[in-house]
Amino acid sequence: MTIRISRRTALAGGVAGASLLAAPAVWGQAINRDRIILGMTQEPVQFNPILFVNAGTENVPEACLFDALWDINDKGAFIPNLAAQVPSRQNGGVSADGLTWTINLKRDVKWSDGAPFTAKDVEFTYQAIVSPNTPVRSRTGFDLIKAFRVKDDFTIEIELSRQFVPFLWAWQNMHIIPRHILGNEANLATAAFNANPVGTGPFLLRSRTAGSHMVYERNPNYHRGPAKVRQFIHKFVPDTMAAYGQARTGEIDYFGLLGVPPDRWAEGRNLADRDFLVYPTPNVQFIYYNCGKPQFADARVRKALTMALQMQKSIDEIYFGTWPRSLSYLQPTHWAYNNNLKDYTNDPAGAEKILDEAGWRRGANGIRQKDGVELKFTMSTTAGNVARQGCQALFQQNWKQIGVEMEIRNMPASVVWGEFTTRSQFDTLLVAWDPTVGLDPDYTARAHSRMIPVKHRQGSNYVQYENTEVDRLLERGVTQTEQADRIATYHRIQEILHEEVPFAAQGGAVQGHLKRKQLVGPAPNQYVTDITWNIQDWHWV
Amino acid sequence: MSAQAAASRRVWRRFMHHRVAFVGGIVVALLLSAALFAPVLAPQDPTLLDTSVRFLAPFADPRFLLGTDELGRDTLSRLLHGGRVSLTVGLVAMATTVLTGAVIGIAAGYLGGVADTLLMRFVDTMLCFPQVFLLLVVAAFVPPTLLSISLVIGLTSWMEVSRIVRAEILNLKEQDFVAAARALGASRARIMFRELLPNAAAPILVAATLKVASAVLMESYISYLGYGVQPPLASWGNMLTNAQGYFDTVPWLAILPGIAITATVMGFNFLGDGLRDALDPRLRMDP
Repeated sequence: MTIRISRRTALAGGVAGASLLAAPAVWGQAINRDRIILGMTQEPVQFNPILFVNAGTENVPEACLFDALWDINDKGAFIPNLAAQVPSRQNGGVSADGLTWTINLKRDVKWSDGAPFTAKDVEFTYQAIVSPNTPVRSRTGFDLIKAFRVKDDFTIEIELSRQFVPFLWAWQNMHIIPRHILGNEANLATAAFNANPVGTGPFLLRSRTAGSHMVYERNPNYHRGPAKVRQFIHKFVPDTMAAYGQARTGEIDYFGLLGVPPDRWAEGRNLADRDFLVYPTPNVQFIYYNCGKPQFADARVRKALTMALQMQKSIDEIYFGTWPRSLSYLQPTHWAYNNNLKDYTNDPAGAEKILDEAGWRRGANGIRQKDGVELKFTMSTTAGNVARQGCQALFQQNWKQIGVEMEIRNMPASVVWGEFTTRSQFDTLLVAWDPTVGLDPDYTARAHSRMIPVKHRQGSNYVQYENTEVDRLLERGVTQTEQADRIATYHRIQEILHEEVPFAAQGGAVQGHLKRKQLVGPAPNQYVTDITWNIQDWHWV
Repeated sequence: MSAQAAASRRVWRRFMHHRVAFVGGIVVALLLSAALFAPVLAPQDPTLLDTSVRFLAPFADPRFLLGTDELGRDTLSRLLHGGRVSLTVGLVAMATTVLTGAVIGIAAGYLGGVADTLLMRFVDTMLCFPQVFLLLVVAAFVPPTLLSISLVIGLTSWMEVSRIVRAEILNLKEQDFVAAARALGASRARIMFRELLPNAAAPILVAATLKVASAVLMESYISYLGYGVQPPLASWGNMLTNAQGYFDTVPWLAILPGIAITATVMGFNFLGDGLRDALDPRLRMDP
């Protein structure tokens, strides 16, 4: 038998095939109402919430398994969690001079192994955070505690050495760990607990398949009431396009964190049966100039390099206009953002003038140099991030025009953000970061001269920036209680950073998340890096 | 006419009559010359980006004959320049592989005994590690340049060649012509490299052509992991990698470098086939 295909059939087949390729297909995979599957491209590897956390990714087990004293909701308001109420002057939790804080804890909370939660656990968590042996992500605020007193099992009194307004922020970011398990542990960083955690949170870790997924079951005794869905699965799909495909077909119910790539937002918004969430984050993306390298020691050079860049274009064209342009370390919607800053980028002529004045003249090979140092450097970021690579290519072209040579040297995330960053070995980085104390505008950890880890073994001032006026302002900002005073302080800080450019802000990161319409609960919260901040409320309708 | 000239004429004639090999040879010659003359042939600077003309389809705009990529760079220019990178990596890695593999294989096969045992256990050890892992370990210590990438790929993929060569030598060294050479008082080195090597040329050549192909692909793996050719420098491998995000909307971005890689692989394989048939002194199939 021979099969004959008429031209018409072939044409029809072709059209059908083409439409299969072209149409963003959404298949109605049935919803399992007993569970929620969250898909992400990265995988958490350690579950102790006070150790260094790969923000965004390791926040998920943190939110599922642990609780902080209080949380911050999507309106920017603090809501009590393990504490019975958020301390304030009104409820007597904060003394008139702002130095003494009294915290009342809930009385009916149990660890998932049945042991009762008490003030001793909070004290232990505090001691672990300030211990020099713990590689903790931030001690900001906790280092100001002069005295920590456990009044009874459910009352704590904290005395600060000086006023620190973001103290609420410090605690909302710090989840409480169990003393009865970790109290006798010699080294927290290597404790078995870090892979086999016990918490007070809404879920219990049931199983973990490395490289694939983690399964959580709800905690029936959760102190805020059991979660509405029995099972929560956190699935890892490293390839963004594959993860996006799974979100479209319904293999994952919610695709979060980096989310839908910017060039697919238009398509993502129009998918039937899916909600597209525009998710603002606290992260701002920067070019980090390592001020410890001879090319970048002079602030004029850093400013000139920044001026030559087409920053707005990088956002409009490479991020498809999905990000707002930011000129400081805050998202432009932040209450402390300095709206008076002028965008001086996209000015190659101005950049050349400054470099000429600063004594960086073009050599025989066309590259500017001064005192035997060529204006030539590398830029590193996570390898394989297509949008960032696009920005790098654009910046490279911008700099070439003014006689500056930049070489791209990207590496896997674990390498580039390891010692290469923390020991300030880089020339420049393309990196997105949040302010370290929640969304308080305090930027001590990243800009104070005492916070240079290669010099002082603490902090995250990886660019090695030193400016005594900025130091003074940062120290003043955390003691001011009136918002207007704080605004003035932080505006001045942003102004100086905008002129001296230890890091050049590009834009505020915004993500596009995709979820099934029937899934209720996920809500954009720009105050946290944790997309599962209210995981106990997620449910199906 | 000397006997040698007659022999090489015979090889040439046999090669030219091998149709597939002839086609392979032409494809390879075209690719090599395109890569060689890329700076002259390329209509644009391959790294020049212009986002106002991104994602142009092939033949849609006379300025960009094969269209543009996600940053508005000219695909044709990137293919030509990428060919230089990919073919250099392919050829240098192949040469390294074949040289190392052949020397170790011949030494192990001919010398035998302790030397054989030691060399083959070394090969076993090298084979124990997955190549990508080995590549990444080495690449972490060596800054990525074109030469270092090629050498690293070459030095982590010679093991199969040495196995093949050793097996061939074990067979060959028992034959009469080796005994004859030994009887004439030829040195070990002479026997290994003048008598045995030409007779083992066939499997080596085939392995070599296959290695060109796998080196081109290997370069794209390590580029993907960030240790290979750094952007914005084009290589066929990283063009393919970048294209994967647009596969359903802009498929030609993946298809074009894919065609280039396929043409290279097939060209070299056909060429290797023909060379083997033409060179192998044991195949007496004069037309």
